[in-house]
Formats: sequence, structure tokens, C-alpha cells
Amino acid sequence: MIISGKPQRHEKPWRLVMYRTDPDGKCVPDYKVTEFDDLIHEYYTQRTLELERLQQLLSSQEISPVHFFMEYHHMSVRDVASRMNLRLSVVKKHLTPQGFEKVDVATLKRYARIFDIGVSDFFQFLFVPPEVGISVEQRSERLLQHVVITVANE
Amino acid sequence: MERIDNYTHDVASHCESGSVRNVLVHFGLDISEPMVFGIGSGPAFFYLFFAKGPNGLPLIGIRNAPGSILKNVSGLLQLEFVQKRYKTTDLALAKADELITRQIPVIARVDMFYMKYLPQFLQVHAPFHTIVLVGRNRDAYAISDPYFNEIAELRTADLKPAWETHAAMAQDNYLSYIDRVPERIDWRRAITTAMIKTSRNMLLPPVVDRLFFFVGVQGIRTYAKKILSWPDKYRGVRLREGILFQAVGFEDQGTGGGAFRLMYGAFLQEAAQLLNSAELESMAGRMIENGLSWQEISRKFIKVGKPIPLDDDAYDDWSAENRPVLGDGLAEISADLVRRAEFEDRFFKDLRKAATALR
Repeated sequence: MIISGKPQRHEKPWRLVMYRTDPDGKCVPDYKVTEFDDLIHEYYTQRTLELERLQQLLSSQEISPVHFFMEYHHMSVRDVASRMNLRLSVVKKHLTPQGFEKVDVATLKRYARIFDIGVSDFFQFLFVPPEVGISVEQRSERLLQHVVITVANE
Repeated sequence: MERIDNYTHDVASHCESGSVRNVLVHFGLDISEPMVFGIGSGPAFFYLFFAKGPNGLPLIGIRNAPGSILKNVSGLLQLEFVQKRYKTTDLALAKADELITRQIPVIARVDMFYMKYLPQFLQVHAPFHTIVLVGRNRDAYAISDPYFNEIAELRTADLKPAWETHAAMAQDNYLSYIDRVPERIDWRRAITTAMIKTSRNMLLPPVVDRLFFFVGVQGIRTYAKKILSWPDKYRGVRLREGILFQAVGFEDQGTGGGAFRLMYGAFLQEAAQLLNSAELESMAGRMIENGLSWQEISRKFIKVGKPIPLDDDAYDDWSAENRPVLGDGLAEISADLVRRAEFEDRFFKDLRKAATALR
């Protein structure tokens, strides 16, 4: 998984079409920033905390990489099993480090598709400093990851 | 990129009603999003006790099933409309390419997770997102998404997994398009039939509403009762997220505010004008008041949920001190929800009568 040193944040206010009443009592659409915009900032903060927590669990071999991505993307085991077209018990096995070791490459490719990552992301964390640019392209049905790293000239 | 000529993209509150509105406008029909939502019999309520969200709390549905708006609108406006689910994404894409070449916008239902043009907080696994494909080149499609303020570009490599997810209840490789809009539309029939249908969806017959205690007005009552037990069943970050998600679900997730009730009020206002009905005008006012009360409930959910600590380890200490406050806050919301249920019970009975009289 590639983790950028640039913290994820809510850069510009997100606008939604919301209905409000005008002075004549008419209910009209208004393209505006949501009243709960601050929850979006909170979402990114929480996501950073979640990433740290899951990395710790992964490092201490309490969870498998499949479990890591499932929780990171707020998915349930049932949803993952349905999308993978696998029995619930099989997915549950893949959530443990021991079970993950037995997953074949074809299955990993399918997991990679539902988490929208490359197969290599299951096996490494790549930390990229904020001043470094990075672009990633998945090839060969996510089996190969083409990474381009750019360093700004001083 | 090859694009459909004269297609005008516009933002909207909701993905399905917004996409259908954009496509109908493309076919020359002057129609608003609230009118599409109203004729589509959008308002509903489901307390889905059997389906848990990511935070473990039961899911709530506040509109009819995905696809129903398009289906209802097509039927009542008598559109020449084609819908099909293809076996594979490649077949669906081949059909989409053919339609785009024929200058026909293609409605597709996809998983929002892969919509890379949306901000990251919206890229979540929700396989019921309605978009319109309005152009293409060798390896990307032009997407008209009502949640995005311009026509976006999505790589075919991202569209493919979004269109075929195998997720429960997802309509994989679903594609639909409108062939022709009739020259004359019987608006009176379409509007009144839709109102009666919406009322029927919200008010199940006696006895049936005991069996389907999670649907419609009875569903709101069940939901009001169940939220009182949340602090006993859930804790920490999950409880916090679960409570805040109620507010976001009612307000910000494509509802137009007030759990879709404000948009429905706008529909009733428009219908009142079109059918020249003072009774509908007054009912529109009542529905808008109802929408504003739902909005107030969302604010209360935020007030109750926000003080819960973001750290699970801090929850027990916080709970020891604040549990009564949390309980009182949820009790107040529960009472508000019961009032919404009582209101909607009366309202939809009145609406059914008014619509029947107007037919």
C-alpha cells in the first residue's frame, strides 16, 4: 500500500443541492456547502487514526492484509464474501495471517479488485515523503503495479 | 472524446432522480428533479434491522428501492424505455458504445467506490449509484454524475469493476436508456397516481403493518423505539459513527435535506400549481414543515453523537460520566421521531384522499 506523506484532508468545501424555503415560502434548490461540512474533516482525521491502528494490528500479526483492507474500507465480511463469490467461512479464514498464506494469486487478484489496489499492496507499505510525487498504474489485472516516482527539481 | 451532442449536465440532490431528470431534459421534456422524485414515488421509510451498516448499526432506508424512480417515471409518463442486465461488463460496454454512437445517453448503476472523480470521502462501497454515460474514447467514458458539478472522465478500467460488483442486491451490468418521450403527457394522471402509490408505500394496511413493522410509518415508530437501546448494544467509535451517520444519511447523502421530505414538499408545490389545487398547496406547506422537523432531528443526532470520544479506550470513562446525557438525548430524538410518524400517518392519509379527488 502506498501511503503519502501528504496528509489527506478536505481541501475545498463540498457543495450539495439542498432544498430550502425562500421568503415567499417556496421550497427551492440551493447548491451550497452542507451544514455538516466539519464531519468531512473529522472523517479524514479518523481515517488516519484507523490506518495507524490497523497497521499496528498487521505488524503484530493479529490480522491479515485482507482483514486490513476490509476494515480500512469499512466493509463487512458478508459483503466481501458476496463480492468474492466465496463462502463466508472461506473469507473468515483469509482474515487470519495463517489463512492468508494459503490464498492463491488468482484469489488475490479478485481481492485486489474489490479493494481497488494492486496485488503487491498486500505485501508492502510504501511511505512517500510529501515532497515526492507518485503515480501508480495497475496492469495485467492488478498483478503488476507500475509506479512512477518524481522528485521536484530544487 | 466523442460526446453526445447537446447533452446538458446539471447537479442534483439525488443520483437517480437527478440522472433521470438530466436525460429527460435531453429529450426535450421540461421537468424538475422534485417532479421526477414525486412521480417516481420516492419517499419511503425502511428500518432494515436485518442489514447492518459498517458501524454495526441497522441500516435505514428513506427512499424507495434503487431503480424504482426510473421505473415509476417511465411507466407513468409512458416513456419508451429499455432496461437490461447484461451477463458480462464487456457486453454492457458494447451496448453502451453503440448507444453513445447513436447519441443516446446510457443510464448505469455502479459502485461509488470506483468513481475516481469524486472526493475521497465519497468513494465508498455503495453499488446503487446512478450515473449517465454521455461520451467515450478508447479507454475512458464521459460521465454525467449529479453529485459532480461537471461532466467527469472515468477510465474504462475503473468503470468495469464498478459496474459488476457481485455485491448483495446490486444490479450488476444494469443498463437502461430512453428511446422516446411522448409528445403529450397526462400530468394529472401521472401525479395523482404517484401520490396514491407513495401513500400506499408509507401506510401499510392494518395487520400487514404488524408483519412489516419495519416499513413506512410503522417503520419510523420501530426506529424511534430501537434507538433507545443503542447505548446498551454499541459502544465507542462505532456508536459515535453510527449516531452521526443517521444525520448524514438524512441530510447529506443525496436527500436534498430533511430525509427527502423537503424535495417532496417542492414536488407538491409544483403539482399544486400544475393542477391548480389549493389543497395540494396547503399540503405542500405541511410537508415542508415536516422536512424541517426531520432536519432538526439530524441536528440533534449530531449534538448527541459528537461528544462521544474518537478513541475507544476513552469510552468507558466518558460513558461513566455522560451515559445519562446520552440516554436523554436519544430519548428526545425518539419522541421527535414518534411525532414524525404520527404526522406522516395523518399526512399520507390526507394525501391519498386529495389525490383520489383530483383524478
